[in-house]
Amino acid sequence: MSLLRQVRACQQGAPGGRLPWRVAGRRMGWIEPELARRLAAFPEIFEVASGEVALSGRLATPDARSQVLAEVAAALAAEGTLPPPRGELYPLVRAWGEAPLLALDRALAPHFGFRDFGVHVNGLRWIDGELHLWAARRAADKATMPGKLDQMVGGGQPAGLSILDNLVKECAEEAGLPEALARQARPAGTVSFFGLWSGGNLEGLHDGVIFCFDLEMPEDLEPRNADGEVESFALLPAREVLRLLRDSEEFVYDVALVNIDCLIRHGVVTPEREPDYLEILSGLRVAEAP
Amino acid sequence: MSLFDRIAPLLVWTPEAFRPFLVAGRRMGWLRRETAKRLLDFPQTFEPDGDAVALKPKLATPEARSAALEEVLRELIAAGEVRRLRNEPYPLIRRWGEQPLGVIDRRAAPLFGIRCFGLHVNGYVERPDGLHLWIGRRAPDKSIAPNKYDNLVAGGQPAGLSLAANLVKEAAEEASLPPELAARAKPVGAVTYRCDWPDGCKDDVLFCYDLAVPEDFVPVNDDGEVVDFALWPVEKVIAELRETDSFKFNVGPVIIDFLIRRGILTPENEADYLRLCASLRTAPPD
Repeated sequence: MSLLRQVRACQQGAPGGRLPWRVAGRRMGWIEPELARRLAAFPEIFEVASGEVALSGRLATPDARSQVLAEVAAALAAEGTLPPPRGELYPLVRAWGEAPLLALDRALAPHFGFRDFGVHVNGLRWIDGELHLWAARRAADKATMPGKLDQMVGGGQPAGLSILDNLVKECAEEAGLPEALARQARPAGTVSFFGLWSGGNLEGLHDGVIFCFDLEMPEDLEPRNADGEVESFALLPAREVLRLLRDSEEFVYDVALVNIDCLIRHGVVTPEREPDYLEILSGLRVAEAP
Repeated sequence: MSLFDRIAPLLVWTPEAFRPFLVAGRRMGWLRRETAKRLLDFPQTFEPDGDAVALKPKLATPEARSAALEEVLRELIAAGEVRRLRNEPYPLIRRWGEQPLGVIDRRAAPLFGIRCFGLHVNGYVERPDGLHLWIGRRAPDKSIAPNKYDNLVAGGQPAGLSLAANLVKEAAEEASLPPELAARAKPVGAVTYRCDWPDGCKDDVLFCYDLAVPEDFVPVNDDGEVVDFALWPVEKVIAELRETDSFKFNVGPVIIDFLIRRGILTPENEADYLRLCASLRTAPPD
């Protein structure tokens, strides 16, 4: 598979027959028709009409919205319509930094199709002038995408935690990195994606934005997992990362985007050798979610 | 004023003001409606095709198309409607690397709304007192953006030259960089946009390069296009970008891309971070 195919898989553009989900008049997600029908059983909370699902305007504050949504989610989880909560709250925002309309459990993301945010850290080593990247192999019992290749560190961005504090926390849990090192990670831009995915215990819509960071790793420090979510780490030459991106689906889809962005920024993928250079670049960031 | 103000003009695109320009059945550009009407005064070269204006299919080779376009341009120049040619042939391509359907003088690129390619080099110096950027000031007699600030090296990408060869050539002409130094410039991505322009539209792809300039090297202009160069701390670059319109219209976005990639602008210190990221490559990838 070419790099462009990896990128196109992340830019599906259409929400696949889903209904817009509106909160406070803004389109904040996309809901499957089947779930919409089930939500219609809560008319005090959801107004399901004319091809869309709106959270009732009577719920005027973020706290009120968050609370009733958690109650409905719990009821639907009890009957098996929705997955059980993961205990991690995500803010409902379109742009990072704006005031959240509500907070909701991370497990609802694929079902309500709202935008979520993540923080990924490329672990970089330069050996004899050649870029190497630390890659993590996800644990076989990880909830989603078990056994796939991941960035050295990657995690969702919950509500109520700054991006940097979240990065420090994930670096400690996933790769055992000391805080002083983690704080040297340098932001390097974003990638974003939109589409429906299935497989790897993940079914649903993913509208995601990832804040990408580069961290130059010291020669004498190997990442070591602390939370059981990573089976092993390997230091791969950039050309091996490139080969895996081209010839396999070993990397999780969003991880592939972060890797491609990294390889472009560091001049490994170039306009002279990669015929799809511009198409790849324009596909790394969704202009604005459809 | 905000950094986003430097990108916002490149996002203004009013498709209803334009008609497609077709060559060999492909949309190769966009013509302002008044330009389209004027071109149809040359029926031996152009013909209407629905809402589009097409180069006549009998012009079947790149040479024939290039010659016919140049002839029309010369008549428009003689009529005082277009300024003198720049004598830089730009390829008629939509996709980087494809065979050109012909060439057209750089002067007419916005008029026909063709996709143009260029390269910009961020020349930076890592000094003990922080990251610095070499900034050029464009000559007062430049036809585009006189007196505005520019990257260390920037140039359009003409037909028949590789990016690497063009970079070395521009680096020598604009900043007297020795070829072995210029060759160390690293490709790091691209900035793209399609936007309204006074006489047409700009549909540009700027290949971006970063070059670590040795501390003891001072660039000197060789072609009269740059008045002087100065080494600015990035803090000054950011302040100038935020508060003034003194950078050339497409140089601001190239430097903002640099500042994002280098971690100078961060999601924590720049409120518009995501919007800036999402606005740097907006040309439709056709």
